Amino acid sequence: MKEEKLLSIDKLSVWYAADRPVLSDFSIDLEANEVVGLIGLNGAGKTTFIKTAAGLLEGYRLERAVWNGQPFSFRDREFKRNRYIVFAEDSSFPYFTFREYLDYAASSYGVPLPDVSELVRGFHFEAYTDVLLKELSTGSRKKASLIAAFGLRPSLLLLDEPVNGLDFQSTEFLYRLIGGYKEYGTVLFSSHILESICLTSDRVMVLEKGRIGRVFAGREIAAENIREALSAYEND
Amino acid sequence: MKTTRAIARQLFGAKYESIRKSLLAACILFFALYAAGWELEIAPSILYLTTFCFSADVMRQLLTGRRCGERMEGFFVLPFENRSLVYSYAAALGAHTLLTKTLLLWAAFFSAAAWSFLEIVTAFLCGCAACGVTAVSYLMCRKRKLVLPLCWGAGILIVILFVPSSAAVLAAALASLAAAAVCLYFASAWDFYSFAAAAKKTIHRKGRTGNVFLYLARYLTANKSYLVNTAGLWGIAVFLPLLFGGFQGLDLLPFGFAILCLNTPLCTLLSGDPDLEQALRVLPGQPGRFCRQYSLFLFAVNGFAAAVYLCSWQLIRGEIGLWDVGIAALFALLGAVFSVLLEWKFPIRDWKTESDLWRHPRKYLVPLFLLLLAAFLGIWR
Repeated sequence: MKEEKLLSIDKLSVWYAADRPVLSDFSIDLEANEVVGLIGLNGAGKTTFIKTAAGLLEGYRLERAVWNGQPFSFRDREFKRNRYIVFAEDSSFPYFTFREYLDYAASSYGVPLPDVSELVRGFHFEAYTDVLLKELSTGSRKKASLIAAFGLRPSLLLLDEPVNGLDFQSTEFLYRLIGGYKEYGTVLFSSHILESICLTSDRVMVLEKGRIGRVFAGREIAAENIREALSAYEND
Repeated sequence: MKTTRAIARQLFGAKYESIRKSLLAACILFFALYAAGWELEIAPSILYLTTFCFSADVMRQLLTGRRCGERMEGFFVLPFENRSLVYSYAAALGAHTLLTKTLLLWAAFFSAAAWSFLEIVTAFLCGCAACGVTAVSYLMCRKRKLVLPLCWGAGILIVILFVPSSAAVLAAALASLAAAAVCLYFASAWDFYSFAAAAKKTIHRKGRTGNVFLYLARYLTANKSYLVNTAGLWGIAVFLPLLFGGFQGLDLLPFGFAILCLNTPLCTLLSGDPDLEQALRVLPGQPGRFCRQYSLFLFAVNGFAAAVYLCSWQLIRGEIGLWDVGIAALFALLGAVFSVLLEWKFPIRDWKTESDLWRHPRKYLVPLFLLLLAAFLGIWR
């Protein structure tokens, strides 16, 4: 029996200005419990896709969107409650501490407050859990968002450039977290760092000219293959 | 000139759209009021005083605003000539103040009364002087030199209020402008940049619950200007009953409730923090969760102002009954709910300075509606 896909989006077009779409006929399928890396050059549309999936952008059209076998819209409550998004830059809730934010987010998702002590230790975040988020550095803020994301364990994690701003140790820890998340759900993360993509992903999608140009899976996932694909697009 | 142009483009837009919009708004306001046929006797000192205080306040907001501080960072990264940057920065902020804010004030004044050329020029120079004096005072206050700015400001106000001569005010304005230019000559551009946030001691808090009320209370207390604005409104509530004289057939009490709902900084929380707005739109259930508590918070703030106003009214005029308390609660609630609704449905975007945000026309929608409701209730009662 064919396994139902977690998320299917067909022919998504997104634009900031009507005559210049950023994504054009973009289609993506995500299975349950997999890790998918999304790579592309600057301006390819990685963040645009994540913002569209977050329901933040209004300039888009698509042919079909299916979540767990049901048609859905990006702003549907059911979809929102099953996905969590970590943006590349996020200065939200500056007057909450991390613990207060986690409590607030857990209530919003309708889940019990998760035990994130292991995540806090792994990211060396112990000294910052009770400090206002506005007083944290960029890297520490990223850690706070990632701890909340992995602590809440939604069915789908969308991570936009999750490695940006992290120190070396935290980056290594993040790779382990992403790889281990298959037990709980699916991760789609965008990056322009080949190492993070190759070390953690079950599939790698190359975003080029507004759509998924190539998909690498299994043994095909190698830095030189992906680099070659990106260079080919750059030279086009 | 290049530096001035670069800063001006950041404030006015790449094609200086803000200036065009402001000129258009000023023309519309001027001709609308002129056509309405209002003719008032306004003392020149009122024009000068209003121009000076208003321009100084707007300039202060620009200098202390977060976005201006971020702008300065961009210039410090590049090599810069100190004096050029100081003058460019002060001139650009002053131009923004006068062209996008004070201009509307002038349009209102100039349409309502007849003014001589000397009085118009004096008003203009009062505006310029206010911007220059505020810039210098800001730098002095950053160095904890408070006496001189206070004396300087007081001196100008004394001339405006107690010397019945436009020529004297003109001379004072020119002298202040010249003095400000001299002070800026010796200023360092780095003094405009606020390092205060980085120097603060980190505080570890004990809270574990994500309470929106607590969040908003921290937001209010962390932003001193918001606190001052809110306290100012509560202060106005004390004196409002004095302004409302007797009008035949019209109960003026509800008008005060409508005016006291004009707490722009608190009512533009989401517009003023795009990251927070983004996060609230991404998290599930926020229209109910966050917006409900935000409304309650605003209701509490408006309600306190209304309570002060009621007490003051009772002391000055008497005759406050249960009906009036009920109306106060209704206005506080409506003001809160509609403000949050506007923020959620129609947030103000693409603002360049906090001043643009605080003076956006949208801020008048809720008070306007409440004033209409007050007029209806005032007549009906």
